[in-house]
Amino acid sequence: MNSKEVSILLEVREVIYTFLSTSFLLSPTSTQITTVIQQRLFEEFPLDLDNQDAINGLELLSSWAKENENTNHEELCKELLQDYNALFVGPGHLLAPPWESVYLTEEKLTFGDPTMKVRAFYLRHGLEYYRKNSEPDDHFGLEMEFMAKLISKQRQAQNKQDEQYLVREQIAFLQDHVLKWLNDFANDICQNSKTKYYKGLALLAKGFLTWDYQNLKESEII
Amino acid sequence: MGNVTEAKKGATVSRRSFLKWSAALAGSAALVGCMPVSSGGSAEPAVAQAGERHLNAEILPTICWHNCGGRCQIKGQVKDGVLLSITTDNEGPDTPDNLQARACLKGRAQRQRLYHPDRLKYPVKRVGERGEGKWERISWEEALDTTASELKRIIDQYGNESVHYIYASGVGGAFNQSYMGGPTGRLLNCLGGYLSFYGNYSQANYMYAIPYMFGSPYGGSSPTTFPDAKLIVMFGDNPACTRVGGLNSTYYLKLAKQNGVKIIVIDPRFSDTASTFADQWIPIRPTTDSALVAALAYIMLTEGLHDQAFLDKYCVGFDDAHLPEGVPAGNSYKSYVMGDSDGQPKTPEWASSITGIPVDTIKQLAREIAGVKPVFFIQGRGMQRHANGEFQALSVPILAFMTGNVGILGSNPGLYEGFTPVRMGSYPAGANPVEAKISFFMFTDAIEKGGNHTKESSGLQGADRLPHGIKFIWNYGGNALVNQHSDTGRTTALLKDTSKCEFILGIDNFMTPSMEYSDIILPDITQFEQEDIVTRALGQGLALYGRKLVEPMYECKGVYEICLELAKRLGVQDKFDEGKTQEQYLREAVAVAQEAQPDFPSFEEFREKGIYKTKPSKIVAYEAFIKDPIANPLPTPSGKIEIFSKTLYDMNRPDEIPAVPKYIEVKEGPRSPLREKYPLQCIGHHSKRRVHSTFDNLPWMEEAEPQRLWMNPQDAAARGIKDGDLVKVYNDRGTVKVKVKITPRLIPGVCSLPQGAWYTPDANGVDIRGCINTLTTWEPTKLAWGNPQHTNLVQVEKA
Repeated sequence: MNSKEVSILLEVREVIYTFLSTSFLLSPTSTQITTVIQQRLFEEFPLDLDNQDAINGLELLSSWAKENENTNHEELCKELLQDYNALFVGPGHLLAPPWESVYLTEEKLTFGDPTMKVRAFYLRHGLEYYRKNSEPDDHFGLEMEFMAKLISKQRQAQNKQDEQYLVREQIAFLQDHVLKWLNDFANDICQNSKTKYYKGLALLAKGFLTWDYQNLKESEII
Repeated sequence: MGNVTEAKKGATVSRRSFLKWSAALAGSAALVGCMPVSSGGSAEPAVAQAGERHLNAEILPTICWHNCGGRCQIKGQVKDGVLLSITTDNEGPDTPDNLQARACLKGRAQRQRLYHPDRLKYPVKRVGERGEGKWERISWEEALDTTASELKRIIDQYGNESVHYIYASGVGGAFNQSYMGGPTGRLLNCLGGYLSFYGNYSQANYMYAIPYMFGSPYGGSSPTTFPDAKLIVMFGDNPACTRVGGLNSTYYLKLAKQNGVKIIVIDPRFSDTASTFADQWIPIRPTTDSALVAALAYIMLTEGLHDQAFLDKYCVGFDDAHLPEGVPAGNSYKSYVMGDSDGQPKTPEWASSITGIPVDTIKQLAREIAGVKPVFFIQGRGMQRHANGEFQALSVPILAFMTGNVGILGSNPGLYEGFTPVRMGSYPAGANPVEAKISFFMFTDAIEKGGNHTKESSGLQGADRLPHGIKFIWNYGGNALVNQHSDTGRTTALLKDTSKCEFILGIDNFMTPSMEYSDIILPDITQFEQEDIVTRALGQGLALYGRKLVEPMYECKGVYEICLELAKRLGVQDKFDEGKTQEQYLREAVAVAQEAQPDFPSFEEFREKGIYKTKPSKIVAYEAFIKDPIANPLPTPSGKIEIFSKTLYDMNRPDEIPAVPKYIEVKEGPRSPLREKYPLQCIGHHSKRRVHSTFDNLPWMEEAEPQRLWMNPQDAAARGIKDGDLVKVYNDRGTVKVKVKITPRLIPGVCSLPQGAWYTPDANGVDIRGCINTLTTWEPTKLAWGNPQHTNLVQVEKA
């Protein structure tokens, strides 16, 4: 891969992480739905991955978009919002609580050790959640955003040494945090979601992150 | 794909797609949460490594304030704005003069409430049918605007009597208070008042009935005097489960035990208190305690063991010679016991057939009670939570009168424990201009009957009739709207009808079964996200200061802020808002404490240490009255103990409301014809894993004591049921599916479904969590308009 190709891949990864971040962190909006459906984004995913979860996820998302081409986007948004709230927001029992600590602590609570470790990881790169201590730092969407920020830093790195450090940090963050709960979290979404959209998103996240981690590990060896 | 570049093994990048995606996401990329910190990125904070987790953590005192009857200190280990763990009062030594206010399993699990992923986080409004479970997240502005306009509309249209601030006991601070008063009370008072209530789910029948005998519901001996007794006789009462914390009566039971005091527990269930402390457990069928008391009286009378001089001097109506003027002979308690009035002497044989207690045990118990002094008679709250609860409660003191066990150290006339509270100020709620009060238990009646909820039909006080019933419910920190009230099926059906009660506001930390029936839910902060004070006394007085441990989470707000915002919208800010901060109110509360208790510390010191205790004192019930009944008469019509109440007699409903504490057969009792269909009596004991319904959703608590129906091996064998089986418990009111615990700790013919589990109906309306109130009735008790929630007949079969 030449340096131009490498830099394009970096940009693509940053875009995908940003997409995952906003998809999980924010409630769906009708303008976002309109864009995604009209521009057929899921049929033209910028990475052609040979990961089965990613392929299945994109298939679900594309078929969701196709089925809803003529649906009223306000109504569609309401349906997605019900699903999003039932999974991640409430009120009441969350079907897929979107925080690492809930999956990785024995008591299944927010603000456990994983939250503090994620907080420390962010801080190491000069970042802090603006809702610190009001909402947990280890929301899946925030972890995706943090990855996007690491990639952005890598793109701006001045020398090889910094670049390699940032690759190592991405590997470490995926390994020590994201991948530790990704499967259980994605499974909870797939089992409980009432829409193809969030099922597809969960599978895409699972597939992409698994691929990305392997990709990073290989590039580290090189 | 268009412009394809080989990237890595297993992936290709599409440049065209990528550009499209970049453009599509350009707007949202800015909407993200990780902000650069001003201090730069070099800081390497102490990450929670093994052994270092608590390094440099601050330890702050706070409180466990739920309604178990005790209160305990909690100490939070806080670091970087996060509560790491919880400990409790460890200031020693833990001696009879200085009990540690140690928290129980629930208090120590409080971190699981604070950091539970299911906490209510944002205001929501109902978007489907009421109770359907469809919600939409809304802004605080919208939530407050809607609540204010609905409150105003309903007051204008139906009047202040139609606004009910419903019974709730989830929050109990000097500042935040969900049980009447508090900022809610003040706001509603500023608006012209609200419909309040009398009585409560814990002890309604006792509190209503006991004054007919003593003139007051209070005044028992303190548990500090347990060790001074020779014998303690407990009718029910299970402090080892209901008030588990360190500074409670269980400690004094232990001291009594160490002193060699004999302890007898009369209870259908071999409770933790019975199994830990009792020398003898006498199992009894629910609702039959007054039959046992009558038979004990019979033995004492026939064997001449009773203290006639005491009865003559201090009591009205024990025998016909001491009835009030104008009451014909044959109406005294003695004539009831001897069968003069009804032809049935209350022999041990008679009582045995009702109570299930062997004849010899009854005889032996009577002789034992009469043969030793002092005896501490005490009753728990469970035995009065029955359809005949008033007379269950009134019967126990008879034993103390017949044996002269009143007014002497080590005695107690069958009353709840006495105490000297710590005086403390509280947030000024002001006076409620609305005089009408419903029974706490009759709110469903007041919704259902609308304008036909009256004094006669429904026990309304302070007015003859409610003009429109209840149209607005303010439910703050409470689960009595659905879960803790009787007959959840009937209650939820009523609440679904939005033409009856038109608006329900819910404020809580969790989506309880009651919150499900709100129109708007506002997320409340816990005690750990604010400052407050609680007091409590059982033997030793206690005041606790709760420091704020962490910032309010998500978008949660406290009730004061909610009320202030509503006051602004409703044009009463000038009346509501005194321009004081929460701290100023707490300082004023402490000033009251300092004036009443000269050794009370400064506000700063109290806030720092978080705890103040009085020296334990020994209270002997009715000591002054016994010493000199002329100088210190009781506040009864006669000034004496009224075993016979002329007031009750004049109600002229002798079968339902007897003038002396007779045994009243209930519709769903041990000898009811309904037993052919529903052969088991079903009670709902308090489990130590919950405070009412609080803590039901915590994993540790489910691990400590999973929700199970208790059942005797004989009843289980007859039904082919094995331990751990899923069973169906049902009657005409509802069906519960729950796993069974088979144990000889409960007598045959009785089962128990521990109260407080969260009502969870499936698609067929079958409760799959095990909420006792799926099976209970709305029908109130006859005198007190109280709750009969342990009086249920059911059938149980394998599910």
